[in-house]
Amino acid sequence: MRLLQRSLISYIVYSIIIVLIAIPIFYLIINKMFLNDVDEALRQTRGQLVSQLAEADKQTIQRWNDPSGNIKIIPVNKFSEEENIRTISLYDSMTNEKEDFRRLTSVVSINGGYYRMSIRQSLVDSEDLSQGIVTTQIILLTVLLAGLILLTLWQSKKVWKPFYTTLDQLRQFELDKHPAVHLNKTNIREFDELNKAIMQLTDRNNHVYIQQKEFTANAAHELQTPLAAMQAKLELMMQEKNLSEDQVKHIQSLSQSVTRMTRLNKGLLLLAKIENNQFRDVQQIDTGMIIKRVIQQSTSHIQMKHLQVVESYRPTIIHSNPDLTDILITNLINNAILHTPAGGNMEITSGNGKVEIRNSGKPLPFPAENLFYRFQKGNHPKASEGNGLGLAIAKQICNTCHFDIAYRYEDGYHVFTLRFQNHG
Amino acid sequence: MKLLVIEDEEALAESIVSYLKGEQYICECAADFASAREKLELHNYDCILLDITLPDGNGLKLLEELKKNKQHDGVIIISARDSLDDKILGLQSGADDYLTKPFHLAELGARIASVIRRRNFSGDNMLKINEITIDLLAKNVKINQELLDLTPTEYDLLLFLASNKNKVVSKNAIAMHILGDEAEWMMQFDVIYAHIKNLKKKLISAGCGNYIHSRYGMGYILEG
Repeated sequence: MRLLQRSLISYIVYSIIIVLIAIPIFYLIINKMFLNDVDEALRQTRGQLVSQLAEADKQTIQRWNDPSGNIKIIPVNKFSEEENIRTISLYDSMTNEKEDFRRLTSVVSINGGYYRMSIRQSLVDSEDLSQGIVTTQIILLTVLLAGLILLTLWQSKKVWKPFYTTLDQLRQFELDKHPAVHLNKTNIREFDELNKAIMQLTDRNNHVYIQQKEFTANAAHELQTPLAAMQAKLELMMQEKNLSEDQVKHIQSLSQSVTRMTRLNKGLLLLAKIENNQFRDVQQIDTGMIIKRVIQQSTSHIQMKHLQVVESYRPTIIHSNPDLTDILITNLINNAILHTPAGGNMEITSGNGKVEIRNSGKPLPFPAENLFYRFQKGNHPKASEGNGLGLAIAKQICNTCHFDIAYRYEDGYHVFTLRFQNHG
Repeated sequence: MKLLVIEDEEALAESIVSYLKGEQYICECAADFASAREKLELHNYDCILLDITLPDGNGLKLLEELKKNKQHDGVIIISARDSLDDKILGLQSGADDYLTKPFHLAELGARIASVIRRRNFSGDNMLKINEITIDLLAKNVKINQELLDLTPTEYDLLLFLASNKNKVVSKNAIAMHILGDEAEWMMQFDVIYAHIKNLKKKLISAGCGNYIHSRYGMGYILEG
């Protein structure tokens, strides 16, 4: 439920209750006042009649009984103080419906005789009046209520606009893309405070993120020189004559570790560079050409592992950074070569803005969604090969270049699919 | 041949010097910008190994000064910076080569040899080891004046080993040299082994002595 709906609903409920209570009360009050008026008028008429007929004889008085029946004067024997005033319903033959009247009945003494005098007055007018008043009232209240709702809607749309602007900016906020969220002043204190807090938060996050990123890059960078020194020392040791078997073993295992560290470091540096957007240049690239070249370069490994490689490519021209696209395709193909068991099959197809690399092999020993994470290595017999960063780099490149990369396992094949948007 | 190693990491500078000396090289070291500048003003070198990030200055400045003073020393930049921009900047500033740390000493040895040969205006572009003659311009190899048919990889391999004559060159260094980035992915030493085997076979059947030997299974050495 939206905030606006919530406040509006309570407004509407309150208004409806008030209207429902007010309308009958109002009607009753108006009616009562009107009846009082009518009663007063009837009494006045009675007083006037009595004073007019003060000298009249019986016949004259009888004549006052007019055919409309509005006034009736009937002689009675005894006087009574009792005064009867009430509303009666009478059938009107003219309009063919019942009509309400107010009738005052009392015993008066005229010229020494006693008469029961009934005076009545139609209440049709009064009903019209009170109905009119009530109708007006309802219309008024409805207009008021509708106005209130519309005004609230309009107002809140205006008032909440900065909120939605903020929300929009936050939705677009990406830690690694936009430097930080910038929000304008709104003239509403609550929103200004919210915006300030958000800007501080995003600034802080950004700062921490950049520091983190720089740390990785700097650490990898700073490792290059000590690695070079280690590598050099190892090579010097190899020059020694008369090395014992044990010494050779140590040198070899050290050398392997240094090589792995070097590769890892290179991978981390490359990741940092991609994340830092250092590859901006965009050119026309034919992915088919890259595939051809990578396969040619890897011929010796493909032959060594006795892999069957089936290639089919139609030229697929995309617009992207050549270095990144090259690294991406190289990584994916080399990853496939690395993980295909000896004597296995590979299929590489390119065309229609799509590159698909399939290689035979056992299913992943870990969940597929972890495939593109850093250092996610399978229980590969030669886990020392590859640096555990190849697919993380591929994923990062896809993020940067807006390519779509997907993995699936079907019929004993690992399938990587690359989709390009800017192909032609 | 005089070399100057400008490198602030002492362990690395030391290793470079002890790897290179003994052959035809005489090495001097400078650990910072000031001492490097002083040495450069006083002497000429055949090749300078230059680290760009020095504690008290940018190595590229030294390079600029060298070029301004019309000193034609060969320069190889050895740097931890591995971006293409850094490499282009270094080479545009007049360096002959750019080597990213970490590197193999064998690779460095080969690059130094190549720079010095290119700087050598005597026109002698032949590398001779006993009966082996490598023509660096024509990129061919002759054994006792007989042309040897080698694949480009085998030629590279022979030149690499010859440039590091009498040194054990590790299999890693060879893999990196002839496979390049591909070696990052696969440590298939079988590939190296196959190339070495073929090269040796061709050399011996051409009547050449058996100079290439495996050393402790770590690497190979060309003795001559």
